[in-house]
Amino acid sequence: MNPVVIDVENLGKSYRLGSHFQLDVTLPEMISLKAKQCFNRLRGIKPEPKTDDRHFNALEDVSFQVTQGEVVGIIGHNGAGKSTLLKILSEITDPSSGQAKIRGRVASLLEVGTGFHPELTGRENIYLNGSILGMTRKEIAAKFDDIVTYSGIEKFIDTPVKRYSSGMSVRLAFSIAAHLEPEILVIDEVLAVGDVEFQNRCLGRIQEVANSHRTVLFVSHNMAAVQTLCKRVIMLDHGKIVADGKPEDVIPLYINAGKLQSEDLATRTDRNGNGQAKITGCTITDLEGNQVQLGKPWQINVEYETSHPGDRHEFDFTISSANSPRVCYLSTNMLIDGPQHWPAKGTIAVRPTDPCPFWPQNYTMSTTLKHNGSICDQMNEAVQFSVILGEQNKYNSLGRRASVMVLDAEVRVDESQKSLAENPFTADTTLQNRAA
Amino acid sequence: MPFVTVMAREAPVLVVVTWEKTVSASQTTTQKAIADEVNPGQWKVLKPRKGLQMIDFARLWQFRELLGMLALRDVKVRYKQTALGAAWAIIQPVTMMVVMSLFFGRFAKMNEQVGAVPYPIFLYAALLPWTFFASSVTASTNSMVVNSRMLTKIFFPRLIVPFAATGTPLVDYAMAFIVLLALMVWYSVSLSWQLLLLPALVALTIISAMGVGLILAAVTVRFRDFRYLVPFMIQVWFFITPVIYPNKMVPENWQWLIQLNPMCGIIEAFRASVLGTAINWSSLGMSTVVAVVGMAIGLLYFNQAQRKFADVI
Repeated sequence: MNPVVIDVENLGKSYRLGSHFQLDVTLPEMISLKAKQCFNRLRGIKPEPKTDDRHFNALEDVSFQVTQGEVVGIIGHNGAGKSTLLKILSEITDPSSGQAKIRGRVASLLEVGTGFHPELTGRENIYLNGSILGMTRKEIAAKFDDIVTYSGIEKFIDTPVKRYSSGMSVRLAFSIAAHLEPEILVIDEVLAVGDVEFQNRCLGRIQEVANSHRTVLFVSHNMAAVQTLCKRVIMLDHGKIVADGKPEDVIPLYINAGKLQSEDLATRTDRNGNGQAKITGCTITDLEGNQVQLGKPWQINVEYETSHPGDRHEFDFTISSANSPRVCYLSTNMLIDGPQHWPAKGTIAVRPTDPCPFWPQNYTMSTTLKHNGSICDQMNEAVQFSVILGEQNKYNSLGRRASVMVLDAEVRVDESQKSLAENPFTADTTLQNRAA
Repeated sequence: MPFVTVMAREAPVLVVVTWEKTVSASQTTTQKAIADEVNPGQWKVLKPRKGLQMIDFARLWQFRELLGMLALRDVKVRYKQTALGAAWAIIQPVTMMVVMSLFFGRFAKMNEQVGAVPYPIFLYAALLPWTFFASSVTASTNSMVVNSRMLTKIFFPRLIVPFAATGTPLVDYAMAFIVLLALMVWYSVSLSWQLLLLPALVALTIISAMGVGLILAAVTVRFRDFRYLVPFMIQVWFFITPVIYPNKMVPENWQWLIQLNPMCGIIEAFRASVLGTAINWSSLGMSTVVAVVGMAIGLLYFNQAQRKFADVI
């Protein structure tokens, strides 16, 4: 049994809200408020009691232990308290209650390239960023060549960073961070930036750190990454730990929580359109209603309401990933012809004929509902979903040669040297390879 | 494996001890961990900090190189992509000196108040430390907001930031000093032993600027109002400091009040050192006391306020 290196006991963090100490008051407001309080006290009016609704609990009563060499994934929806937890563990902010005990040198990477200055050259930024991350100049100098080689930007090392492409500066920044040698590595959603190659490099590096017996705390929305890297996953929701266990047990909870979240679509306010029809719910699942798996059939179910019952409507959606704004677009207009009768309240079920071709990662779906050519309801990022590697199927052999989509195709291998035109596919020469 | 718990946050003196041990232990641990031998060093406890906090000097020392790096960054960036570059550090004070000599010296007849000393050099010898002080206060006030991204994303002793902000003014100060030397040659002012005092006066200026700067930096984190208030405050401060006029113009019964301004004694002493006239030791002593007390208050206040920085900024 490895020793415990992180011991969190009843950790809590609350932010004060409300009129007593608003975080965004200006000075005159604050002074007049204080004056009013004084005046009221003089007149014998008691100040309003501090009630709990003035506090927002970002973290509540969180306890867990991590032993040396563990790689722990921390998951949860936005606002669940993941980043707050990491900020406390990396000493950026104090907890409000409870305590966390840590032993070993902690390096936290809450953002790639913190403190990079665009006017400075790559070389200067390596020294600057390195010292912000807590390295001494000597350490940086010793690792300088490795950092540059690893980042792959040798040629531009004396060029100001503002001339870099965003990919280059991210690579440089990650390379610096990758050369910290902490015993405990705390990482927030750094995979969200950069291309697929960069993400894989990050994952590879985290794996290396983990293999060298060091501890990693890893926050991500990318379930595929969490699944591959972590042996243990902690799920947070509204500041509390709701699950702590093996990835295969905890990740489905997260996905289900996502489904619940999508039911809030009915009450969402950041939407456009004339409101004559409305999307009230949306789920993206496999045919059994579980998480979408690569290479398995999948479906999209949309609940709607309309004030034009009986008319033809148009529903379309765009699926995006972090790297590509438009992975896939479909519209009922192109899928169904002729007159349509849409009831006042109903469900649109879209079942793509191809198995899910999306590489395991996170996707978001934006939805639009139109009537008579005008937009009734439009929501960006209406639903978040992630695709996972499911049961063994032919796509699993892809490994990390990931693209956004996995194309299926008919493939033929035979002895003839004829071109395709001379020898077209026929039913009996084709390798029937479609996934079930 | 027995756990050693050190209540670091509540007994600040122990923080020092804990940190040092953690660092030295960590280096050995990395190697040992690879050898599959486990010895993870001592606990660092993170819990709510209440009451008066001690300044964690050991940590500051550990991050000492960051001070230089941040200052260097600002200096390097300052005149990037300007045609005249560092010449601006000379152009600005010289222009100010010329304009002020003309208006205050000639038109307002201030040159009659300063005796035998040529007014331009009288003025410039005060303008120099004043500009350094003013830009240090402004820079450190804004430093927290300018670096807010860093504050919310990474841990390092926050005190380093406002101190590093004095780097650029210091370099400008050094550049402008060359002009002072030229002026001394031009007006054939002879060098006196008192010039040896200048480094001490520079240090004293930094101390005075930091006393104000630290407090302003900390309040600016919550109230951005100070970003607009400070330039105005500096302007007022300029006129209550004997830069364009000699201190003796201030009525005798107001002297005690004006001496509370640390820049008053410092500027007088600076001017006296350059011109080789007698230094008003009591005034300089008063300034030193005020500056040191101010800095101590600034340090304590900043250290106290920094706990909330990442949450409020």
